[in-house]
Amino acid sequence: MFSLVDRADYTIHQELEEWSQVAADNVSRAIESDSPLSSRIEINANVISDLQVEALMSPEDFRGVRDEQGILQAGAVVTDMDDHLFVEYLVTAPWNITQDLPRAVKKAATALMALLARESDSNGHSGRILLYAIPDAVEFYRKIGFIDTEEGSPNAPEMELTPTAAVRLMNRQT
Amino acid sequence: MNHDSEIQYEKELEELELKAGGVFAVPTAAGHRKRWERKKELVRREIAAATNPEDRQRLEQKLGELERNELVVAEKLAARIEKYDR
Repeated sequence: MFSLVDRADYTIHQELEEWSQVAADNVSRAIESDSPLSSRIEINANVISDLQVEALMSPEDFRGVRDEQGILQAGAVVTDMDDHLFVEYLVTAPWNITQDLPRAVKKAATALMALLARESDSNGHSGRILLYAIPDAVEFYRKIGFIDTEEGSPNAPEMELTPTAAVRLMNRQT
Repeated sequence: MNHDSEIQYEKELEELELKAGGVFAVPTAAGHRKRWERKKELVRREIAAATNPEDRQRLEQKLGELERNELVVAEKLAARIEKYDR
């Protein structure tokens, strides 16, 4: 079970700093061991660094999920638009890529997306969400009901969660 | 969806989430512009609706701060955004 974090406070900034340090360690280890995950780990570290800045600049736009132990497992930056919720960043904790126990969990991004669909619904947008995905995440989004809008770029295609598809996601137990 | 297909769906979802490698949505030039324009637009609406000078001044300062923050973030993201927009 996950619970929603709806803004970045001092604790979140500290937790993101820890994410950043773990992500940097992951990058060093991946390079040293010539890991096939190097590229993903590096992108994860970069986006965590960007997320930290955004969380400081716009704490009200930060969203995250904590697991049952209270550990922050995913974070996002979102803005409420006229007819949808726009997600500019969505990243999971660095230990979830390397699956380092005991902190690693599964489906933290799915849980956060389900909670964002509910926020979109309660804001009057019927669960509608728009975002720019990375290519490796496109299949994940299709699986949870997103469609390609044919906008964006090959490296960051725009995807949309339609109100119809949002119903199933909102009904998930998070 | 029956129980077996539900289990199968959850397993596939778990694998696809792992395959994404921890990053699911990234900033782009269009996305950055869209989000910050919206944030500024909301403050401009508040300025237009403000009835006393103190509120208006406070909101104008807030708008100025937003504009400065937008530039700081844009500068930090410039190289990254260029990569994602290709």
